[in-house]
Amino acid sequence: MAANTEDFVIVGAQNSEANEHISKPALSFWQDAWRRLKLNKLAVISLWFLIFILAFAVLSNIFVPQKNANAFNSDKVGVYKNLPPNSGLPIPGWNGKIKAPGDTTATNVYESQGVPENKKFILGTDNIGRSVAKRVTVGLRISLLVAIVATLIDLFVGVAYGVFSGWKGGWIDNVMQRIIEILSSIPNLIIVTMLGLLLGGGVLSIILAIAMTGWLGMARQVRNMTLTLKERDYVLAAKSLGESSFKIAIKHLIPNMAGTIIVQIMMTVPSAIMFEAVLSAINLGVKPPTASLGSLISDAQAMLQFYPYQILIPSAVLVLVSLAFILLGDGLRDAFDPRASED
Amino acid sequence: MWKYILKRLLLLIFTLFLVVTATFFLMQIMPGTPFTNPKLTPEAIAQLKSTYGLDLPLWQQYLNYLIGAAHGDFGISFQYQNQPVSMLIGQRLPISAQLGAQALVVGVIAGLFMGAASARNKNNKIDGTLGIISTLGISIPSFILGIILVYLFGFKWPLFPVSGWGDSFSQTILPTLALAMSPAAITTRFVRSEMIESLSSDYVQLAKAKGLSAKEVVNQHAYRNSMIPVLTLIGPMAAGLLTGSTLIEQIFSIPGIGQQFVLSIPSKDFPVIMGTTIVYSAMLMVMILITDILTAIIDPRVRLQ
Repeated sequence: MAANTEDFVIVGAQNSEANEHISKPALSFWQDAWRRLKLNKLAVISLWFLIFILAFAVLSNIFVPQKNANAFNSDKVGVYKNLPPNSGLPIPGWNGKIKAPGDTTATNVYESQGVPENKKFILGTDNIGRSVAKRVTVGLRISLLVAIVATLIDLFVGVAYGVFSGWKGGWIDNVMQRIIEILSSIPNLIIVTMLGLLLGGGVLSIILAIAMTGWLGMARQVRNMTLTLKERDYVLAAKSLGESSFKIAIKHLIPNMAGTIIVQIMMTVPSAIMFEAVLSAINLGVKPPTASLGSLISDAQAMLQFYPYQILIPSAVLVLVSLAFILLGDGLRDAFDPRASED
Repeated sequence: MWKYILKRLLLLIFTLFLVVTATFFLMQIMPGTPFTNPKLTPEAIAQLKSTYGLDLPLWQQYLNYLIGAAHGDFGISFQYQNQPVSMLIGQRLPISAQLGAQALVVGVIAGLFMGAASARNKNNKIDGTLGIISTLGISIPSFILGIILVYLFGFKWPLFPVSGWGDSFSQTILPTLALAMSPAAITTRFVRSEMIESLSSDYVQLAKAKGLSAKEVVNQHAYRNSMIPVLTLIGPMAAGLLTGSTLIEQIFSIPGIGQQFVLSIPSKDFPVIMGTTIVYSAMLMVMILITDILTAIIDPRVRLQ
C-alpha cells in the first residue's frame, strides 16, 4: 500500500481536513422544498398570481366597496344596460361595439345609449346597468372569503380529528374511521344543499355548509400520517420524557406532516370555490344584491346568447383562480416529496 | 370474498338507514312550509296536513316514512298534487343514468388513451400538451364547461342543439362532453403515473430483456397492468358526476332527477327533496360498493386488510 501512494497523487484536495469540508450550506426541509418549487415555472407563476389576487381582493375594499358595486350607474332606471366591454382602444370585441339581437353588424351601444364620451366600462355593464368590473371584484372577494374561511375550518377540524383518531388507535380509531366512511358515501352535493336549506342563505351559512364536507379528506390524510409518524423514535423519545399527548401532537406530529396538510389545503380551496358556485346555481347562494363569482355566473346565464361577456368574465376568473391553486398544489406536492415525481 | 361483500352490504344498508333518518329529521327542522299561500284558510291547511299525514305524531310519521322508503315509496309531492315521488323520480332516473353513463364511458376511454400517450411520450411535447389539457379539465367545473360549450357550439357556431332530451342523439352530445371532461382528466393523470411506474418495473425490464419490441412491451405488459387500477377511480368519479349532472341538467334543460332536485328547493317540496337525496345517496353508495368489490377481485391484497 505504501508504495502505491507514491505513484498516485491525490488531486483537488491538499489534506484530509479539506476533504471533509462541506462547501454547500446544509438545507433545512423547507429550504430544500422551496429550492425545488422554484424549478417548477408553472407553480411559481401560480404562486405570484395568487399573491396578486389575494392582495387585489383585500386592497380593492378601499376602491370598490360593496355598496359601490351594487349601485346602478344612473339615477334614471334603464340607462346603461348591457353595455359591452370597452377598453377605449380599437380592439375588436373590446371597443364598445356589439351585435344587437337580430343585427348582423356591430353597433356602438355607448353612442346609441348616449353615454358620456369619457365614461367607459372596461368590462361592460350587466342587465340592470351595474359595472361588471366592479361586480366581479366584489364577487371574487366574497368567493375567496367563503373558500378560505371554509378551508380554515376544514384545516382545524380535519387535523384535530385525524391526529386524535390516529394517535388513540384501537376502537376509537375504528369508530371514527367508520364515521368518515359513512359521511363520505353521502354525496357532497346533498350535504351542502341540506345545510344550505337549513341555515338559509347568507355568507356564513354557505361557509358552514362547504366546511362540513371538506374536512373528510383532510382528516383521512392526517390520520394516515399520524399512524406512520407515531412509530418514529423521536415520538417515542418525547413520550418517554413524559411529554403530554397534546404537546407531542403540536410539537412533533403536526410540523412533520405540514407538507401533506399544505398540499391538501391547495386542493380544498378550489373545490370550495366550486361548491359556492354550485350553491348559487341552485338558489342557495349569497342573497342579492351581494355578488359572488357563483351568483354572477348563474345570474348571467340567461344573457349567454346575446351578452356572453357577462357570464364568461366571472367564469374565467373562477377558472383561473382554481387553476392557480391546483398548479401550485401539484408543484408543492412534488417539492415536498421529490421521490413521488422522480421520473 | 362473500364474507367481504356481505359485510359491505350490511354497512351500506345501515348507512342508507342513517341517511333516511337524518334527512327526515332535517326536514322537520327546516324553516318554512310549502303551505304559505295567504289564500289558504286554517281549515284548508288542516285538510292538506291530514292528506299528507303531517298531523300524525312525529314518531309515527317517521315510522311510516321508514316503512315506505324501504318499499320504494317516498310519499306524495307537495308541488305536483297526487304525483307520488317515486313515480316522479322513476320517470327521470333513466335520463340521468344515461347521461351519467355516457359521460363516464366517454371520459374513461378518452382518459385511458390520453394517459397512455402521455406516459409513452414522457416529458416531451405530447406529454406537456396532455398535461395542460388534464390540469384544465380538473380545474374547470363541468357547469362552466357546459356554459362555454353552449356558447361556442350552440350560439357562435350552431352545430348542436343546446336544450332538451330524447328527441335526437345530438342533444346528448354537448352535456355528455361537459360532464366527461373531469373523468377524462382524472383518468389521464392516473393512467400516466401508473404507466410510468409499470414501465420502470421489473417485469417490463424482463420483457425488454427478452427482446420484445417496444410496442409489444407496452401493449402486452405495461398497458394492461396500468388499466386495471382505473376501476378504483369509478367511485370518486361518480360522486363528481352527481354534482356536475345536477347543474348540467339545469343548463341544458334535461328532465333528469338533478333538474327535479333543483326545482324542488325553492318550492320547498320536501318529499321530493328527501326522495332525491335518498336515491342520490343510494346510487353513490352502490357505485362505491361495486368499485370496492371489483378492486378486491382484482387485487387480493385488499381483502386481507
